[in-house]
Amino acid sequence: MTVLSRREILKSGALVVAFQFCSSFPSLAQDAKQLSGSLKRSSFLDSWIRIDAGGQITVFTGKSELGQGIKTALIQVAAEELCVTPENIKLITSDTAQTPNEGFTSGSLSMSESGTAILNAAAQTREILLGLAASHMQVPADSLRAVNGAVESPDGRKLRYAELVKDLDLHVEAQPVSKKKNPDTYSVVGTPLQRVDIPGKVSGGAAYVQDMRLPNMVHARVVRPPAVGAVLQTAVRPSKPCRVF
Amino acid sequence: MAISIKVNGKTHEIDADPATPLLYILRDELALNGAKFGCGLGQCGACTVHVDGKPAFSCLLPLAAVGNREVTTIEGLASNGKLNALQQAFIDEQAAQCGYCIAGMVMRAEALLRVNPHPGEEEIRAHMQPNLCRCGTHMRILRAIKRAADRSTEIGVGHEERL
Repeated sequence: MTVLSRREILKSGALVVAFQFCSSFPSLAQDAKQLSGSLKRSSFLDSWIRIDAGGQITVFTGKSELGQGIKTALIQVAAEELCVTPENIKLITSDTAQTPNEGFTSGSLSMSESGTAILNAAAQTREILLGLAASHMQVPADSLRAVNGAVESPDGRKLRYAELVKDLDLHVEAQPVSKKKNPDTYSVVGTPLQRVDIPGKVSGGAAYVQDMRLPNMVHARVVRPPAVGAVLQTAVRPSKPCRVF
Repeated sequence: MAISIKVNGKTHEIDADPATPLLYILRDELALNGAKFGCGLGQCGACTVHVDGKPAFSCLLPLAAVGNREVTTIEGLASNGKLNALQQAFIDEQAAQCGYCIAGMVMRAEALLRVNPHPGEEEIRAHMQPNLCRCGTHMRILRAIKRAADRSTEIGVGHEERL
């Protein structure tokens, strides 16, 4: 019998896992590896960006605004690649019913994970819009430009995003490569923008988790015994609803 | 027994233990978000409100001790939805990082500007001493307070008149 070292078992185990994964889901494994940031976990474009019939753009992130300013930064990223002004972007943050699951908001990872996903999803959405406009206008897509929420042709024709949404399907998987703007041409990213969360914070608006008030919400509090082995005998219940576990 | 308190110009009958800190009443009973629980010990200033115009730590003030005095929170500074000059100065200077301390900072600074519309740097620093910002936004906060004070100089009116 061959005696294997621990290191070799780990090595062969890792190979087996990799092999099984790739053979079962070859395209998924390959594409997911190539997708940027949190697109790896949530690869459909409409997980990140939706445009409604009126042309309203909504961007979704699974990261939370904790005062680090990411709402403002993510709006800038989306606005840049979608070629609209920041006021045209509505951003929904970390809502378990609506946004991608991006795990923790920590470790200075929000821009690299969520920001990268939104950057690429926005660029790909813009290219899809350009493609739709190209077929409407019967011109090559690469002759068109996206400007301020509309697609413009060299001969002066213009189609607003709102006019293109009826044919727009963003429930498609992101591509590994996006046609991103050249940073030299940026007009929103890299320019100062007032933080969107500050007005609420200077006026008592709902800004933090503890500002959420849900029907019949109760607060939990751990009460520790004064001595090892002590057992809770009674608890005085306040007049308000209170549960003791 | 219900206890009556006046907050932002409105009287409320509160059914709570008289020893309950005012902060808990503001947040839990009146659903006001402005005053924050920071340390609960009067050491950080996040809970600062005005009681008869003077800054007070609402986390330390028992409900029963408020009496007939008027409580003002940051929600009470704006009029007809328009932020007051100091609130606007905090926005103009982008004087917040996480922003958790900011409502307390604004309330403490507001109390100063109401009695001294044009404080000097040293007066501002001494007055703001009880309020802490752990993000380190103090320099922007100082600029915001100075901006609000300077603005009242420029337009030639006292702070009260700009409210």
